[in-house]
Amino acid sequence: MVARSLDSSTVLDDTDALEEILNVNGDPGPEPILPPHVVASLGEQLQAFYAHLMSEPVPDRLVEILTRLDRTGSSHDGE
Amino acid sequence: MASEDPVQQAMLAAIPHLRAFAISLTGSIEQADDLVQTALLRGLENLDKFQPGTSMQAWLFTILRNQFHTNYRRRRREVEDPDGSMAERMAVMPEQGARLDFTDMQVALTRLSIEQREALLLIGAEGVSYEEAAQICGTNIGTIKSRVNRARARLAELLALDADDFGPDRLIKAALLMQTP
Repeated sequence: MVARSLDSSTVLDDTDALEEILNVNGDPGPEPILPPHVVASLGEQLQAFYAHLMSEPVPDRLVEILTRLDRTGSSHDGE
Repeated sequence: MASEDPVQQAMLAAIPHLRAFAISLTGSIEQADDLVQTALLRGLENLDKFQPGTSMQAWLFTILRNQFHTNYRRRRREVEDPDGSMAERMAVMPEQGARLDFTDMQVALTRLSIEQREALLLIGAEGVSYEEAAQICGTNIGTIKSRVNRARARLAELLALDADDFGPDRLIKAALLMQTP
């Protein structure tokens, strides 16, 4: 479950709206159908690419943001 | 960073995921790190709105995704990049002769619509459920499934997966033709 208290107003833009309408009418147009081996190959490539990105070292400045939690001890004055 | 604060631990654990998602969304490490930084800061500022017991990672993904859309709209007003040439220049370069050509994948991803790109990355790379992807993207499960299907077809086309490396050519071309409106 995801809290959606932030920026829920940014959800719809033009292409979203179009898709929603098509889906509501039950006619989203012809769905592309890829052969299973192409889907599998794409999935492998995408996951290899993503795993490569995940393995990159995280910059210190991103980790340091969270050390502020230690100092403030609360969520109130985390700026 | 030896904190035992579970919130902090959950946020720390989410960073590599947020970063991989952001890099593959934007095609730029610099933009991605700015996005992750903003998402973490906004997460900290709004911790009181986080529902305990729910996924911190999904919550941060939602914040990052919304920030990306805000930035994208702002940027689109300033720069047009219809053929993805800017994305190509900003693409993450492959390291040490990677077996797979990550530059091709990065450039191909940035040529998908951002709605298709985020849906495919969440489902196909990050591996979240359709329900969670729908919540992160503020839409419904059917729309996510449709976007993922279209994203896969477009990506196969961009990466020329319909070429010789794969089975019956005719069948694939016929399948790809179905995506044109």
